[in-house]
Amino acid sequence: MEGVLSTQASAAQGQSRESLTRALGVAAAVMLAVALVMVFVIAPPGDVRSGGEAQRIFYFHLSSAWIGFGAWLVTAFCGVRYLQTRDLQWDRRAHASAEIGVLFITMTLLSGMLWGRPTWNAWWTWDFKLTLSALQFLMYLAYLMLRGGLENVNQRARFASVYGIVGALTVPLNFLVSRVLQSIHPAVFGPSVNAAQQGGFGVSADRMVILVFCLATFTMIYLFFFRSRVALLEREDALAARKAALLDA
Amino acid sequence: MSLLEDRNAVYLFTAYGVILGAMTVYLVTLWLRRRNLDRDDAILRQIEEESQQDKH
Repeated sequence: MEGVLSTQASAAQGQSRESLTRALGVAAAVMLAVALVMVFVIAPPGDVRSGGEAQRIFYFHLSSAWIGFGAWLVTAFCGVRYLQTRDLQWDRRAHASAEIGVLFITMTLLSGMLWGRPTWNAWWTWDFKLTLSALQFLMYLAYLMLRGGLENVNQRARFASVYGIVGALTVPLNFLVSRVLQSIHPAVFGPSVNAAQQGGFGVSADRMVILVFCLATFTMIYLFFFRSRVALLEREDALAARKAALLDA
Repeated sequence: MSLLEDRNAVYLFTAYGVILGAMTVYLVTLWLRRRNLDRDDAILRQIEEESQQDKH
């Protein structure tokens, strides 16, 4: 009787988690639609120096970067929690976050190149900031390859945790590099040594509202992807355990 | 000048196409992985039931 009640409680908990994920998905889709209207209809076009109409790329470019780099921090945090608790749920969260991070950092690099072409007249320059971002993309890929190359679950979780923590050190470095070193890449927030050369890349109040909304939208999308991916990883592990139990029997 | 007449609009639309396309592709991969897990789950359940019947 107790077993039946426990199974029912677990199923109810699973359903409630799935409902929350679905609600996040719907909210993210609605917010994405509103964000697109804000970017294409409400936002003022940029001046010639910032690419004219191409300046509108800025809103989703920065939002992608926010998630692309933020996902590393989540991976590192989950890595620390795994090393503390040895609970594989933290490893699944780290894995999910890194996978989503690859997606968003790819979007950051590609949208940056498409914005760079009309403003810098170049698809790519070996600027510190850009090079470090490309390096982070490769580090994300290496993280996923490392995971794919290790069979032992605990060993994989341990190695990936340490790699995730070390990799996350590049996030504050990337934030600082365009502020303290000579860089072609503008710094949107905070002081920068390049502000004068870049003509003072300030964000006006109306643009800031749209930017903040886009950041919130991408955070919502990240949460939806994250919860969906973690749920799939849980199911993959549960299925693998059942397969192993069948083979043992 | 309207948005469509701007000579840089092609970069704008390509960038948003890439971003929305990438998110859609990831969403589809999530759906495909979920569908494959559902199939695996059904097959495994069938095998488990058969092995239970064999034991009895």
